[in-house]
Amino acid sequence: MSQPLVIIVSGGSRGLGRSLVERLLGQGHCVATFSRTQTEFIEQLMAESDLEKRFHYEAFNAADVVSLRSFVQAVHGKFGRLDALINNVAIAHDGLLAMTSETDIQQMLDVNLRATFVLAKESSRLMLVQGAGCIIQISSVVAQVGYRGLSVYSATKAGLEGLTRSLARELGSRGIRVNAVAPGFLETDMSEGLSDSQREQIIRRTPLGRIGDASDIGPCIDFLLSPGADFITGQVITVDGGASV
Amino acid sequence: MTEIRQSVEAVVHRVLLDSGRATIPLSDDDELAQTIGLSSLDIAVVVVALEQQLGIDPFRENVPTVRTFGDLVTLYEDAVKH
Repeated sequence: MSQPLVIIVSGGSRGLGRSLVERLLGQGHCVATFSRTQTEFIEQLMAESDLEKRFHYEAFNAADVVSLRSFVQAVHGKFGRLDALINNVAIAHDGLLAMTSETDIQQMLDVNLRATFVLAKESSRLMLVQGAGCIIQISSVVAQVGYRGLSVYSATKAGLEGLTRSLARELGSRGIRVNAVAPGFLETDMSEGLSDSQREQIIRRTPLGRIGDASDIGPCIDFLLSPGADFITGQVITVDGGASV
Repeated sequence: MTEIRQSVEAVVHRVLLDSGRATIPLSDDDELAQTIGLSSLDIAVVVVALEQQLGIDPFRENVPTVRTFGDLVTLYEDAVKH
């Protein structure tokens, strides 16, 4: 492997974030993540003495802007640089907009949008001084395809895609690429609430005939982090078995 | 020359050199964009590099009007004092 990268994966304690943290650590990279609470998975990583120099974790709420900023600075302090940010942290409150509380709306704005903006800002500052970097937003197919019960979540993911395009224009001249990956429905904690009939409907509408899982997203992330993607920026890559076509 | 002025000048010079541009002696009236040739991204790099060196960023909470090299130096000297 070429030189290991220093990568932040936001929201890496469960679901897709956990899968990406495991994958990137397994590839020999240095990985930093945070989540609201420390899970058993995180405890296991922190107990491994081999990972002490390659893994950094903090527990805080993504809505806390001050903690977001100090986290990025702590990562830079520990590893001396920051090569990539994978903006994965997100919250989804499922339900009709007419019945969604303003508290839940604000929480999704704070975590899915503001935290993402602040992490991208703080990371891009370091990457500008380095003259290189890679930012990958984790979006969702629902940013482009309507889905009943996910209106606010969809709006926040559509916002990330707008951020991706404009930030790519802003930072491209300094060797910083910004792209997004839009997974379809995945077998993760966030899709646990799907009923059997909803799952069957998704599978029927998917040309490749199954619901994806987190391991389907990893290879796309690998590619976007690699020199093979050196001429790709401002793009949204959908990984959903064709369900949205 | 104050230490802060030296730091600001050194960072500006490094930004120019890193992008293949020649450095010039800097005076207070030199406009950051028109005279020195710093783009908005260059200024962002200067601000971050100074934050890494001095531990302060006067642009964090609001964006003051900074037109000349002298404005920039004064901004950082005032920030260090407070």
